[in-house]
Amino acid sequence: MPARRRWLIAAVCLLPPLALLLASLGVEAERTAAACRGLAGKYGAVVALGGLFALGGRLRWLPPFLARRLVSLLIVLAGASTLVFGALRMAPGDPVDTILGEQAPPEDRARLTTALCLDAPLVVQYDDCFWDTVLDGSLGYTFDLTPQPVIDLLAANFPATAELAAAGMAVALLMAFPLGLAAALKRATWVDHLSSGLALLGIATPAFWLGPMLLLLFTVSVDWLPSPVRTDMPLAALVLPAITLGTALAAKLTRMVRSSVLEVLHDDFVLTARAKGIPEAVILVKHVLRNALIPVVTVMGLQFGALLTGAIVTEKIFARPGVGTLLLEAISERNYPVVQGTVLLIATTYVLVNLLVDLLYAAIDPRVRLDA
Amino acid sequence: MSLRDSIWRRLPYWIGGAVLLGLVFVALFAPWLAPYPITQVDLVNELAQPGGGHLLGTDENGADLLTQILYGARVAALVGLGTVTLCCSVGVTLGAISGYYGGLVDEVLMRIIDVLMAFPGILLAILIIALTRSPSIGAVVLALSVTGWAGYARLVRGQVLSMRERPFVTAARAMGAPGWWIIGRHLLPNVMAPVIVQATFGMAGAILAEAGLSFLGLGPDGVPSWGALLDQGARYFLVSGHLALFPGLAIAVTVMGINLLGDALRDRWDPRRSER
Repeated sequence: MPARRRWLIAAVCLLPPLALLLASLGVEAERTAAACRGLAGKYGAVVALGGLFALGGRLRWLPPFLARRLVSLLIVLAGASTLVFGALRMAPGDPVDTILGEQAPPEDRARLTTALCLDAPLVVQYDDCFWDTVLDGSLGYTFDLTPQPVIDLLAANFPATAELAAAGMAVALLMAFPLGLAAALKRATWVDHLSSGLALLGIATPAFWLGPMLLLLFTVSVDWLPSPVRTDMPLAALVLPAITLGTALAAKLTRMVRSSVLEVLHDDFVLTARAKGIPEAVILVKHVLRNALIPVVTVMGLQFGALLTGAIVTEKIFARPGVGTLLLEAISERNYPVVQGTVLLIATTYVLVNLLVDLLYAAIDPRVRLDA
Repeated sequence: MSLRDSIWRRLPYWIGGAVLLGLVFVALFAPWLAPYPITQVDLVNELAQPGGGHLLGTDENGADLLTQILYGARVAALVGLGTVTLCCSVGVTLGAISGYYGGLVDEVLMRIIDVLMAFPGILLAILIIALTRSPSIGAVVLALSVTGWAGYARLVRGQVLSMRERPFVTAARAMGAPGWWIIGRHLLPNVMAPVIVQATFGMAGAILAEAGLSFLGLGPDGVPSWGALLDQGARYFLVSGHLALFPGLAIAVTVMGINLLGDALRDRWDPRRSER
């Protein structure tokens, strides 16, 4: 990147906090001015941290690829949270009406409006009622008769969702690798056609259809598996939800494994290994699979978000507790802080998983570390 | 290539094309194709099994399932085509501008796209719809497009970047053609193939996403959507499995057909892939 362009980017990044500081000087209302200063400080801190990461990459006390990833992580997290805030504020209708009803006494409405921070200017809402709750770790308080920090609710529900997502990923890998490998090794035979057909079917089958059908088949018709709502057999109860969640991902991964194995199968280094007399199984595992894994790992990371959002549907089908169920309940009760917190949690997890995948990527493929 | 191979190769086109055309046809002519008016309920035949007067049976209110599925095709087609059209127009325009002019516009746009693509799109759609009191089809299309255009923009930008320095573009520039003319006349026609492929997959994705939203109770209000039919059907699946079976089949067949078309088009325009 030319030096001039770097300076330009730095200048653009510093513009908003400076503008906010200037605005705070011109605003009369103390609360708004304070919010402007607060936001300028927070924004400045993010920019400074980003600059520090970028500098670290240039001066080599941070691996350059990691520095780049950390900078974009900051941008994405800041952007995603702003998006969530914006979406909630742009929503038509008054949340007070939806919570209290339109006939509620004016004093109750006024109290709730203040409690929800809806009477403040937008910049105050953004600073005080959004960022401060994020930074103090509570993520706001629930809108009900016994307000509790949203973070407590999320902490109670997240393990179940993480368990489901992990199980879904495991199912996807268990299905995709054998199918994809078999298809690549037996290219253009019935094995290949069968695997491709299954993959096509898997992508097109909606989870919310597969789930009830599996339930009907395995717990009602033949009674092989316990009902997924039973708490005394947690592992067996996880089987059907995991299959429901993992099938679509399995289908995508199968295609990915097939095409990336095919890509490396005829590379020169595989030919060399074969010429050296290395057993075929060793070539497959050590040379072909390791190289074929690179694009597959990327897709796995990118699809993790789909897995987390898919968990919302799967939890609904199988009436499992979890973040998805929490989100849907919060939506129907118009419990905005919970909706906001859940979406932020899912987005953050997704972004962090993507970062992890990138690190994993560098571990599998040393070339990634070099070309930063 | 033998005749058999040739037919085998073209099969995905035919199937995919037929499914897509079928969807549009059913969506356009649903009122004439449906055996009953959409509002008619047969109170004597609640939860009737398939066969007899109701080919696919009836739901818990005695409404004919086939009629509802045929009308549901309208929602699927509108959401699918609407989302793809909106995403394509925004994404292609911004991507082409970003790729051709580069500089600060490109830098800013790419960072915005980073954010949007790092955000699970369906989650944002859930959030937006959840906050709309009675979502219309337009609202669903908008919600699905908020993040959807980013993929097209990135794709077109990459293509334009790789084509910007080609002799025919330089020649046009040397002749004094303005930027918008070069983009519209020379660059866009050359980058359309991958966009159409992506649009095909995007349409299948949008149909699936709309069905998912409707299943969660967040679909368009007051119209029979396949996802909503499935949601209602799943409540009765112990007594009337067909109520969930047929809407699900409609979704799966449509999505599979459109994906098949996308695969076939991609293989055709990317010869490197089809050899594999």
